[in-house]
Amino acid sequence: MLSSFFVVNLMIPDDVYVHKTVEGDGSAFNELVQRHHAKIYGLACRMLGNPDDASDATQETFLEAFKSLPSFQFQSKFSTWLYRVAINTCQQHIRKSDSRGRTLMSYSNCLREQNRQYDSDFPERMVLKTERDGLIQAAIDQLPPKQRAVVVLFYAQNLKYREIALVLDCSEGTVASRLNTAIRNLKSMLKDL
Amino acid sequence: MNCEDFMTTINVNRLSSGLKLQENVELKQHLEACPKCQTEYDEMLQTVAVLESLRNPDPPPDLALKIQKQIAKEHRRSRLAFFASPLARLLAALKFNPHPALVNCTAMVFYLVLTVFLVKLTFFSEPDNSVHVLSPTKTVWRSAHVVTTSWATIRGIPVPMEESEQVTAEEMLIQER
Repeated sequence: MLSSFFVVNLMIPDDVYVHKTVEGDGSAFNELVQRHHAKIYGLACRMLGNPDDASDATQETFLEAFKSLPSFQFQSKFSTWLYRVAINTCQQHIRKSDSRGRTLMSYSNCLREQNRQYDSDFPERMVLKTERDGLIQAAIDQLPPKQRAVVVLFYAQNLKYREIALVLDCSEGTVASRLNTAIRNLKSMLKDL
Repeated sequence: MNCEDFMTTINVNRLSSGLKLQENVELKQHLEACPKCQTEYDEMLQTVAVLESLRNPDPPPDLALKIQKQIAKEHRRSRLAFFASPLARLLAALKFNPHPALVNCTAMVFYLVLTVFLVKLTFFSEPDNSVHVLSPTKTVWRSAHVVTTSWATIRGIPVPMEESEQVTAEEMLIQER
């Protein structure tokens, strides 16, 4: 009974909850938070490279989305629109934050905590994976924000060119061009991994 | 095909989608003949493979709850604001959804105009005789004026000259104060 409820619940599209929220049902937005917070946190973590900033940015993203929901025109998927809000929030954080200096260490700490539960039997593997992820993140942090957004959306979030173009409000050609430039920039930094 | 053509033709989508070079004989031939492009191509493939191994970090367990609490707080606040702004309510009822900033600005202008109007009405309006005739203070002054005549009456009761003079004196004192 309970499992069938969850199956039915997951089948309900986001737009239904968006409509309910706009009509004044504040609890409907909770379902949207439950569905999308992990993806938005992942995006923020990769964009900002710092788990604390990522948590703040995720909260700000959902708050901003809740406030701006009446202006959502249903021309794209809710998740695409939410990604756009998240990217804007992250870029604001990048502009005003000095977190980039402490990125690598904080991110490594975060990953170390997460990997501990998976790799407790293989400490060497844990260290290697943490360092590797930390180095990839450090390399991504070196990219300009626009290229970073494309890389994160394409590789970490697995979005298609068309979806990235909608999120970033640019053409698919621009997405491809930015991604190519980003890969060439990252190539030398990730050569030894 | 030269090296420049090769590098513009090779794009990340091709590398990521697993198409590689098998379907393009021309690209493959250039790659076999040019060690520089071969190295470049291998490095790009390696970079793409590294990036494809990226996984999203898990969010803190209490993050969703934190966000939901914040949203509930904001929802309560927005409902209060909704009652405080009849303009926003009207626009919502008309299914006209302008940007919140526009609604806020319009509401602010509306309340500013309303405030100016009320302040002007309260403090800077010209006195109106018909209104003052009805006020108790002026009624007293009317009686004070009329007592100077011998035929004056208050509420229809004849007033002797001495009493009316005393009343006038008291009223004059009040005026002086």
